[in-house]
Amino acid sequence: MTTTVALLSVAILVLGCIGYGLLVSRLCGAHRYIVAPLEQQALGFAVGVGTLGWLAFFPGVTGYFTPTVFWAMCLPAASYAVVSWLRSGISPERPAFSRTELLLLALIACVAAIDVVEGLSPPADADSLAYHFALPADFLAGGQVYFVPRAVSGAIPLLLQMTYAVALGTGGELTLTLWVTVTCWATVLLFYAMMRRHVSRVWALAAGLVLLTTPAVLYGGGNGQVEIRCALFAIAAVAFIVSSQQYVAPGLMLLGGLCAGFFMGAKFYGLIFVGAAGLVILLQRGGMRDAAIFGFAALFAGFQWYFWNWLHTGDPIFPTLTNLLNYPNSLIWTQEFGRYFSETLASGELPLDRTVFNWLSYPVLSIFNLVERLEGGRTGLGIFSILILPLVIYGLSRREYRRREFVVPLVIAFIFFTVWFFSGTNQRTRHLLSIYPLIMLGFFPVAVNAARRISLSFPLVAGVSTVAAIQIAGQMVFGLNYVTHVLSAETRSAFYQRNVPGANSAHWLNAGLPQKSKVGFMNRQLAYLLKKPSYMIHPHLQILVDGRATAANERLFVAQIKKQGITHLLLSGDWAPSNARSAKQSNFYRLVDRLVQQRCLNLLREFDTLSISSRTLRNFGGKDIKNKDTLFEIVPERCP
Amino acid sequence: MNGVIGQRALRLLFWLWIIVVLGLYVGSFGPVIRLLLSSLLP
Repeated sequence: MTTTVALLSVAILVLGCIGYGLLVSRLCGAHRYIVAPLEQQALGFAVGVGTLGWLAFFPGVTGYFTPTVFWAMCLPAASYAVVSWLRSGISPERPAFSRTELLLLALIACVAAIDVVEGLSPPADADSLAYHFALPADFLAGGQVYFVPRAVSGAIPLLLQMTYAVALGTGGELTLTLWVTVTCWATVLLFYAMMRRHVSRVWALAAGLVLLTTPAVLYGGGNGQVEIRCALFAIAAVAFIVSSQQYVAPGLMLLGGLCAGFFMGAKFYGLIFVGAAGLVILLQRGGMRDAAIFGFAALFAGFQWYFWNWLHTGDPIFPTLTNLLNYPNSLIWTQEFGRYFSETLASGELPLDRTVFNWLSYPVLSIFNLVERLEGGRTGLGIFSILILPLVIYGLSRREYRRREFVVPLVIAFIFFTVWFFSGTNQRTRHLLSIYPLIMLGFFPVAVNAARRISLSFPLVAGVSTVAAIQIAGQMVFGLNYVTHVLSAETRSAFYQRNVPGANSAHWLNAGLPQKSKVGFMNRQLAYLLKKPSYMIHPHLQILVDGRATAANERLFVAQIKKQGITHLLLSGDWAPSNARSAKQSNFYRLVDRLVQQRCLNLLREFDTLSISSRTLRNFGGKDIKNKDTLFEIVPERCP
Repeated sequence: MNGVIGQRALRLLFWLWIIVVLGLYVGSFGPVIRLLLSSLLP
């Protein structure tokens, strides 16, 4: 029954998004220009996902964040989709496929089957457990969206997480995990549809397969990571922009702006995308008018979360302006913590100095994994773009291939990458996934046409096939963890035991803690798993409870945890006296030890756990480190 | 004649590019591949 409801909810969500998208597209007059059924549906879905996330914000902030409201939002839109299909008289075609196309379709089906297996498994990705899925679950439990005073993973644009909440609310966790699977596929489908404008079906299928199996897509497609879903908005925005200029249709430009705004509402990097796309529009004929339409629509679609952040912090892109302009100290951020935050970000997330040389060499450094901290290997963008680069250079050197539909996505991607690199943000390659399909949309058709012109089609086929084979092998290795779970009798709890450090302690806390307790924890992955009231004492992203390694003031610490109403603390590490008093331990470690000595913290229980370096490679002998989690009860009357 | 030779040279160069680039890429996964092989082979 639960599974049936979950599957039904996914179907209604998909139909609802298509319905919203078709309605908004029709209002903008897109149906007059975009007539290919696949393009209509795929673009409609992209617009619909954004619209659903945008609409869900309002019941969220007004305290009506309930499944009933979600159903009321989805069902009429789903009905509209069905009615509009029936009216349009579209009948499914039965195209004749060549052998190569059938082979490609079979490979895509195999990859999709593994995606489904991942979708049927419980979520295990660290970021998803920490906030992508944890925040929607918390909002649902509270019946409303509330401000989370945490940088990077709390006070951020949450448009896509609103759709996760709708999925979770209507059909539960299975709907949520299948919903992210479907939205990942939708990106690839839209990419395929756009590719079909320029290349034959067999080439478009090959490009789709390469994108679907790109390492960063394998990594982030089947969980809450937003990049691949931002790519859905980016592709749609570029498609509308190019079509708008082709047909001189302001309605399409409006849709392009809406999609860019949805990207902005889903991730701070969307601001860069809006700026890059706006600049490209501005520099073309009739640029002022088009840029005004585009900018208005983008702001309309993307303003919500910036307004929300501004309302609570005075900084729409918290904590960037707060740090840059040295905002005065507040309850949730101080200038001293801002400096610590910036230093931590620089030392952990910025392996490359921001020089012109590094900017130019970034693709090589990332793709060949020469700088491991860029994470360009197992979660990068793969080798495909460099492989076809000689053909692209040859193609773009000829005027006939320098067409607007290839140049516009490439220039937008180039500006995005440049601003992104020099802005001093996180340099991990997977954050570029949102614009990677734009590079492919610019590169691949040019490469195919150039290869045909200079009789290099066979080596290109060989290259594409090898890349697909390598990436599919990667998919098999990645998927084994989930296949093992789904095809065996492994319980949910055992799956988490294997995949999430500290999951056993979360399970115990859910059952073993008294009713009115609230647990403070530092292992961020437990946020989704803890069903009791809890507070994440993140050492680098929040200051309400200072859990930095340098924190040494136990009076302040106790006051902070009391203010949050925390009754229990779950801390990683071994707190045996001999270990806690070792000279190697941090100030914070010693602070906790002093509280234990004063019996302010009463050690209740210890849990054996594992630090897992890679969920994927664990099946192949990857090393785990044995660790401990310790649960303390706070005894207020004995605290300083 | 020159055109044919040029065409062959171009094809050879592109093949070379594909082989080198793919070789370097696969090589960058050396530690992972070693781990996979060591667990799969007796």
